Amino acid sequence: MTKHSRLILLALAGTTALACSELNAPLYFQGPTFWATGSGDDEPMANSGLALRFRNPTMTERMRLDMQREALGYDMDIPWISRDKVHVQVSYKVTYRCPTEAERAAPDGPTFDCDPGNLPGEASFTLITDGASEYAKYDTQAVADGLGGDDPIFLPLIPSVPKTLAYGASYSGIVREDDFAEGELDLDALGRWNDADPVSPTFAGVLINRSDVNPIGLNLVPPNLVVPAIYEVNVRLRSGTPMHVEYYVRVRDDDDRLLHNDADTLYQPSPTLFQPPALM
Amino acid sequence: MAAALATSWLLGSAPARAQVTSEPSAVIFPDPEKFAHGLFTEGEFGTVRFFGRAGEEISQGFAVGARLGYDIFRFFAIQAHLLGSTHQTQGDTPTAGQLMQVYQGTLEGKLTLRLVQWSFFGEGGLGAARMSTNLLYARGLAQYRTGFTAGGGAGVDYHFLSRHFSIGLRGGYYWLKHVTGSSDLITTLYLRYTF
Repeated sequence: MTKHSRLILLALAGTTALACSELNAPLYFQGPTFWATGSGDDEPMANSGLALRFRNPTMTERMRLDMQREALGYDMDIPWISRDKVHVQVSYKVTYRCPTEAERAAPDGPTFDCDPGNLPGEASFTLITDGASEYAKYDTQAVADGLGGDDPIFLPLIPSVPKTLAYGASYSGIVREDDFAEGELDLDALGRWNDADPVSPTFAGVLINRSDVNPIGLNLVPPNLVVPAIYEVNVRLRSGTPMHVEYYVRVRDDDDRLLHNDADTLYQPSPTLFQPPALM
Repeated sequence: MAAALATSWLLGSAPARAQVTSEPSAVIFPDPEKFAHGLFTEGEFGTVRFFGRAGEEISQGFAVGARLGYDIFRFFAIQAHLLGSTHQTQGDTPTAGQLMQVYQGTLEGKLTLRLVQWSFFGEGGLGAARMSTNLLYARGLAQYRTGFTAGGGAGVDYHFLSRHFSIGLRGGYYWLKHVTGSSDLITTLYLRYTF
């Protein structure tokens, strides 16, 4: 090997390493922090949302989506924000405490006060994640309200295991990409492939079962479906005590579809809010 | 007849004598003058540790890097340095446990003092540091993913009896202008090949 070829090899190796590292590098977005006031199930769950901003597809990309639609053979649009291109994860931290004076004095701070002496030493919480794809939106609170009843029935799109915290303690957790992938399939099934057959109802079959274990409610979903990703993330907290929630949304954007160039325009989908059968 | 001739030659030869005319000069072995110099490359591995605000959020990480340089004189060289390191975020934050990479590229000058097979050097330079994600931006610690960096360090080098190869240990401290109140310490072992 000549000296020059060694140098070229070195330069290529360095460039390739740098280029590969930039592929699939995640981006993080801080969601608005929020407080659960601890007023119980009679009040709506505390929640906070973050809508990811995507660019409009170019003409070439639109044509490619149309061609893909024809090739796949089912008569539905191919999502621009699709699960195979956009991967979402939420990292959160929940703290069981009362707001400080400084937090209450802040313009967007909590408006309630509490006395730690009157709170239980330990309290539990459940974090619920839902949101919207470009076609459908799922609101766990709205579904519970729609189902009615004396005791609200919460059917989360992406559930988490309840946790217990001592006063002053925190819990950090992750709603993983796998959880979102399952929730995204369920959301599209509810929004575009809803099967009312009582033998295999999409609602609430898909919400209660993991699709890879029990595909109940997915009868109408084509096997080659391009699943739309969740672009609007809502984080909700069920808790009977005051708790503070911080969270970040992590996005892996394979095809550079997030909006970050001023020359591009914002993609503005209009998802339809899912309503449980009782309201239909 | 042949035996007589051979014997006469042996017996008739005069004994040889060596004559020392001056003190022998001290021999330096190995001779540093014979070490290759000029264009060189280095491959290195080690660690990168952050200090300041970034140090609270990013753990120490494994680093791999390379240098390409040229010895203008025996004691002075210029070099380009690329280093990539991988880290995990830490602390009591929602983003703890995430992986991220940091890439640093600098142009440097290097001064060397050689003592036979050993040499000691100091170096310094400036360049850019780039984060693989916007995590520090999201945490409010960085304005941009790519920022200015400058700093320097020192090290020691041991040259093998081979004309081309040496190994060494170096440490460098770099200021990260666009990461709030932060700097990093790079410590690496390297293998150098001089063409």
